[in-house]
Amino acid sequence: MKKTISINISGILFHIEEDGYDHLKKYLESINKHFSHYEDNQEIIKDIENRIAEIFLSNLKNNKQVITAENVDRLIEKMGTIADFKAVEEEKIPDTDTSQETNAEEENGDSEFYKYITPPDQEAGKGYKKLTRLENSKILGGVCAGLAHYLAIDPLWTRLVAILLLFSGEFSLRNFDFFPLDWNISLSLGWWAVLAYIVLWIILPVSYEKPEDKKIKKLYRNPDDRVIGGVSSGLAAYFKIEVLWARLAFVGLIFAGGAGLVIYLILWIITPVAKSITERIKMKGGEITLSTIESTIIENRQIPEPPITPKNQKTWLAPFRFLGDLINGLGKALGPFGRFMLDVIRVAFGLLIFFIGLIISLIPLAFLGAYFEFFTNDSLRYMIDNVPVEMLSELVPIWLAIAVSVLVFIPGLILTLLGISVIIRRSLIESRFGLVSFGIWLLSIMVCAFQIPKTIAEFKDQGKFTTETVLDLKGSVFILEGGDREQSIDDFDLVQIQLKGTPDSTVRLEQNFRSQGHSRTDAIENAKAIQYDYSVKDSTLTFSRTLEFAKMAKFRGQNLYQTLHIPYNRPFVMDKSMISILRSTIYTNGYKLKDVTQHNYWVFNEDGLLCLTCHDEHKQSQADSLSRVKFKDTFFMKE
Amino acid sequence: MKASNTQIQMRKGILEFCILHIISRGEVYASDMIEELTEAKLIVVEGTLYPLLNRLKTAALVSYKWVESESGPPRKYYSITPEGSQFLDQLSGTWNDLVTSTTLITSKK
Repeated sequence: MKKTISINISGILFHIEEDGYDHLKKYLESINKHFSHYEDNQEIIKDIENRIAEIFLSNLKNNKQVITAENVDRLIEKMGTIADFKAVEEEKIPDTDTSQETNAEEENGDSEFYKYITPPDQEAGKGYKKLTRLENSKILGGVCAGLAHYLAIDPLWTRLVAILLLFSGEFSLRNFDFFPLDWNISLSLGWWAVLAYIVLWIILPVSYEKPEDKKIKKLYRNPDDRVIGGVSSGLAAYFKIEVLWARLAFVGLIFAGGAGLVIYLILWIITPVAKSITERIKMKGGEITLSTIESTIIENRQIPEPPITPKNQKTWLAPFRFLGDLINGLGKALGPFGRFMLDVIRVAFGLLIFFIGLIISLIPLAFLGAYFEFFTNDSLRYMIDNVPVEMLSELVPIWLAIAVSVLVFIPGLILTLLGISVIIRRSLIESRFGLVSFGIWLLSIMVCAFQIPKTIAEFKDQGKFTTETVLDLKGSVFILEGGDREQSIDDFDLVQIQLKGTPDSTVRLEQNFRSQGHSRTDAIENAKAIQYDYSVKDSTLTFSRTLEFAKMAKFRGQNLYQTLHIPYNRPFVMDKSMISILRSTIYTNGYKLKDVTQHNYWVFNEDGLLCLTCHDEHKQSQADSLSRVKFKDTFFMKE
Repeated sequence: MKASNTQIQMRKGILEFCILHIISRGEVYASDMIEELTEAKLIVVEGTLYPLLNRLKTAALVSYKWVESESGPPRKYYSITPEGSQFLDQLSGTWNDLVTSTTLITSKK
């Protein structure tokens, strides 16, 4: 069995055996070359080709379908070799002194025959560069590789730039918040990079050629001179600088917020080790010739003399050299143990990325869980950025919730997979998977872009609604307490109360309900709709510590600010449960929160709040002394 | 090799003369020409004929027309031009003269 190749000679299709094809190709090429200096060479070659087609056709008789190597050989015999052509060509030279040349030419005849000469038009085709996606050296879509090929640089650089740009986009994700009020999603460089990549991916034609520009310098890790991964010496070879500088740059950058470490690790993972001699030459950016191979081998065998540096430079370089030697020595001392350490570092780095990714991907899951109220348990009542979870489903439309979750989940998932990839040293992310995730991700961006302004618009304006009530409190001493603890959401300033003294004789409660809405009137409506409970029972005044969202239709950033006006010299007790809603009352009057207990009795006078039973030494004003005298004989002062 | 070089020189002119002569007899296809030439041992391989024919054509001594072939690519059929006939006549005269002269010299012992 033999493989055949289809060829077209003078518009006729022939199937020709592979070895025959090789022979024929060389033959035609040599003919091409031989006649290249003839004026009408194209016509002569065309004539010869026509004849070849004719002879081949005559060979294909009796159901024979394939031109054999033997056929080709016989054809060449019939048409004549280059040596034959040369013999005829000699006729054209009138000089009789060409015998020697003829002799030499005849001897060279055979080798000349096989000499391959590229037709000039083929080289012209390679003359102009075209920006393409390189399918053969792609990681994702081959855009980076194509760009690098176009710019005649190592694809590593375009990839590095792309990754860094992407990360700048990742950082802006941190401003990303669930709460639309401080939504801070700006189209950072990263987003543009992603968009540009996708656009290039779509518009660039695919090229399957395998670019092997020998003069492109490649960044390798240098295995012959390495401290950790050989990244620095590889970089040094690449930029033709001393290794020490590269190392110092990394060490210096570690202090710059650890950037050096991250860049080193990334470079370490994405650059290959220069294993073969060819790769070592490429690392230094030379062309692969016999002499460069030889010099590389010699270089590797001999330890090069340390370069002579001027004396003053030598002195100030000394500490750095010492540091370099120290690091080198450490690297050598570590030996095989160092290798193990490298693996440990790699795995640790991978784990770090893995967990960051895991956390990022879990957040949206938790968010969705809250959204669909999977956790209806009372004990899990919590708030996301001042929005009570129970109001979440009203606030955020379902599509927005899903889109936001996907938007965060996909980068999280990718990071998780990247982390695993670093650990197992094999890429887990296939191009198809990447493409699909990108598509979904873009879709969720679009959904967000459409839905977010709608939600934000609901918060555009602020409205206030004020009521004042006179409270009828019985007894000489009244008690202030907060509402039941279980049902409340503490630590959020949704409900606040300030106590103030008043010369009037009645206890007055002033309530300022505030809310947001898509217009001012809507905001006021929302403020009016706020449900808030306080109760007066004999001498006890109980304030609920939270707004009852369950009874409200929607969340619009509602809050309540109350002022309780207490007549001068009307004693009262504050329960500890008041602390969470009390504002501008205790500290502003010189007391501490620990003074707020059910055992302490308070009054207001012209000078502000006064604790009658506190043991602290407070500066006594005249008004305070008067108040104290007034209550000297009451039951609580006697205890 | 000096001898062979002389032979080539001698053969060169004669080959052109013969090709013109073949064409002058009527429209002819290159392959048919080759048969006759190889028979006369004037030419050994086919390939060498095409540059020669090309040169004759460029000198406007011959012309050709394309004829469709039943099997294979179209063929070039060569015919002689008036200039070619004139040139051939001159060559014939020279050839006859040469033969006479050569015989005259080589017959003498």
